Amino acid sequence: MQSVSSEAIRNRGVGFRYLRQLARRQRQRHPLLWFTARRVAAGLLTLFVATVLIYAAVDVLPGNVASNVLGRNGSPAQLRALEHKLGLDRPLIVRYGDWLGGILHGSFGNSTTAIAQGSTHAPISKIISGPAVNSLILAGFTALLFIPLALLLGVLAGVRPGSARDHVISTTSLTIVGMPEFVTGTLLILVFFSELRLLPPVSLVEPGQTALADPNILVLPVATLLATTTAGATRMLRAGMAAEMRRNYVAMARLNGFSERRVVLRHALRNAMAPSVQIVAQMLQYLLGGIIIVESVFSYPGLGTTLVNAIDSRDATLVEAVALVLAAAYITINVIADLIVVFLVPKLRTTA
Amino acid sequence: MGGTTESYSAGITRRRLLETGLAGGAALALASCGSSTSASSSVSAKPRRGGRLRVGMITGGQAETVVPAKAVNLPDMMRLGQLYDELFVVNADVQTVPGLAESAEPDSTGKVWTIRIRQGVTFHSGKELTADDVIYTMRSWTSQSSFAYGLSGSQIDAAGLRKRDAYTIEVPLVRANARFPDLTTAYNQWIVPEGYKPGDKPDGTGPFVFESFTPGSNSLFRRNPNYWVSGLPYVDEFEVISSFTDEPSRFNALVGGEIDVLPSMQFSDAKAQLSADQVTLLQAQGTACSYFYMRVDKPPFTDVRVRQAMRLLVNRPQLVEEAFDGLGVVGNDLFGHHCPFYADDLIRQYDPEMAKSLLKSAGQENVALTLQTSPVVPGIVEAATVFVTQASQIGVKVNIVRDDPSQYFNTATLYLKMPFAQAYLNNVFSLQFAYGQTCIPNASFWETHWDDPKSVQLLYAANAAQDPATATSLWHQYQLQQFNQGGYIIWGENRLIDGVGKNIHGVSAGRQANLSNNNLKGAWIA
Repeated sequence: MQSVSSEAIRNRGVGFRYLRQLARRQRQRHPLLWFTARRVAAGLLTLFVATVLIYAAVDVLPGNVASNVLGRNGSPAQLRALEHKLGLDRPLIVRYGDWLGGILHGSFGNSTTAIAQGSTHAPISKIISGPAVNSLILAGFTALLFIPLALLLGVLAGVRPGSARDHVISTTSLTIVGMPEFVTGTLLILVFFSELRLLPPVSLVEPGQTALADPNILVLPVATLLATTTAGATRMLRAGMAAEMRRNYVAMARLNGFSERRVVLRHALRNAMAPSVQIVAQMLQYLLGGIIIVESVFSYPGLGTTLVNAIDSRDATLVEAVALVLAAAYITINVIADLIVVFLVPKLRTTA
Repeated sequence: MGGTTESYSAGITRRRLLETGLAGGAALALASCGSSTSASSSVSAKPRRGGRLRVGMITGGQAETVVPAKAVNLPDMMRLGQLYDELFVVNADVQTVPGLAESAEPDSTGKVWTIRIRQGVTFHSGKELTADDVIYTMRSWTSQSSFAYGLSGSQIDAAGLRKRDAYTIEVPLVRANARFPDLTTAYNQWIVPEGYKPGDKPDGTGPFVFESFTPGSNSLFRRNPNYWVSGLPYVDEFEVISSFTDEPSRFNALVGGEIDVLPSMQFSDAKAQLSADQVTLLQAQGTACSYFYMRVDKPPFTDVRVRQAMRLLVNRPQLVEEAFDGLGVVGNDLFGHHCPFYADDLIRQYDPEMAKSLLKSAGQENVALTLQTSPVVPGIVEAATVFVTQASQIGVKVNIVRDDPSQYFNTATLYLKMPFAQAYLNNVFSLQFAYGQTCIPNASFWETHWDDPKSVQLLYAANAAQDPATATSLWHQYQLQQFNQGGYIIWGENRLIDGVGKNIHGVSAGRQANLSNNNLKGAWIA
């Protein structure tokens, strides 16, 4: 950078102070844009930290792909030869750098286990595309259903806290939330398959097709996830609603003679919207973890089962790819939720 | 056996075996022990053609392959067993019988074998099976990187391997072996066409033709209309669904009719099915076994009295009850029960008092030991826990260490290094296979580090003995030594249990391996 005389700087207005003033003016003119930019940048930074943690975590797992692929027959010499061929004997930093470089160029790389088995070309993008679509279908249906359901139940319970209606909704949701997904799933299988023979106990998909080909297989997995997410969201929305109903302005509105309906829908609910967005976002993130368990229970061919299998066979690149996708989804939900909240609450745009 | 067509093994009568001139093999067939206990799932109905047979297996993930030399997990074995054939196969009575080979004869020394190949067999591509293909395949076994090397490949003298004519080959061996075909019945020894390279589309002689394969998920094959066993297979399509991650969902799939065949059912599920009767159970008491092993070169196991004591203190029926849910029988510290030459007369007694006095005379009374275990298969850790209690009854304190399953059979970390641990052997098709893999220095499963040169010579002599009486005597001698001095505590033989839907017929259990070694070519759907 060529040196510029202090005179020239003063005269041409190029300097840090000027730039700061410029920035502040831009922020004031386009607060939403700036907020978005900063939020996205923070998200990317979090994602980067996630990649480091994921890579290190996989490396710490006992055993590696070589012993998994060669099995009980593999001699130490064969194991070492295979590790060398896969580049596993290089230092961690070098391997991470390689992998990250690939990601930045848009490539997840090849499946370590498949390469270890002698494959020359096993692109991960091809391996996870089908499962990703299936997981999206599963999560999508669940999200489409739990959001309106939880909102409805949460409002119904929260507007009249302590009522019989509230007790029923709260107790039921508390019970369901207490049960782990695999218990809920197994109970559903017990009822709808073992007893009633209405639905299939596993969710198998023909090769080349998506989960939509036979909607029957979606019912129980979605129901299982729906139970937990609806119950959890309902509880939090109910609490938020109940808190909102206790506020002074609600009492004022009632005293002013507003109909209960108007009080609830036009005032209390609108104010409860912003925290509700966060609650829904939280449940969506919980869903990302939930699909892993539910997919296992039903042998549903999604990212969850892919991840579990990949960990079992110590397929490092595949584990990292799936974990990265899930982490990115998680962070994206966060960022979008924050943006929606800022949109809903104008005050936050300038103070954020 | 039942009244169904169970593939070509039903067609092999004793006369046929004599005609094929398997030297020593004829005697083997006559000496075979009694009738098979394989259960057949059909009775008298005529086989119906058509349909898709779906087999459900626990996934091998991206490690799954259709390359014969690289197969290592169970879905691969199932797949390859349908696409390809082997030279010789082992039947439900653990007898070696012809497969793609019609006959095999050793010369008088037992070092050179002449193998005649079945004529009129075609690969799926239409190419005829000839000696060239067999030579090409066998040569690949002699490479150290092939999984077949430790099975038969290391025994073959690659330089002398040659073809005599279009359907005859000459296989010289490194040392004399009266029953060389036994070794070729093990896994990874399917015959591929000449010029086959990993990555090529699978082209075999088997009952099913390759259509598609997605590792960790699914593979689909269709019926081979030109299969060399005329009339077979009956079903039009064969599907291996290997997307299951756990047993409960796989079992549910069988009960729900999403899959037709479930190889290797868990003991708890099988036990429940014995009364629930929702699916057909195929059961056989076979050669598979579970054991503890002691490294004979690590104190205190260097003293044979300590080893004998450890074997005597084990209450085997109790272990079988705990680890196998009662679905099995006790073992007698010898491999290969039901194999030809197995020493039926050697029965282990339960004698904790004798164990105690042996330990005392060895100066190891109240010895403290460390047993390494890992949940690699169901039953292992349960057996370890029960063993600890049994040992404590005579004052032996055993401390259990649970290792990670991925390290337990990893030769770089734990396997073949641990002084006192556990393992199991399935697919034992001959005594020479079992002892060749375990009791020769640096063998694949050299768990006890048994290193007695005279014993190894005895093993070689038993393998080489062509005269049945001599072979019987030498094998008995060998097994007696293992029985008295070896490092293995083979406490149980798990029952082989498979599940099939009620409408599936033509499938049976055999002593040699699950589903008669994945033999599904005669299966039909009612």
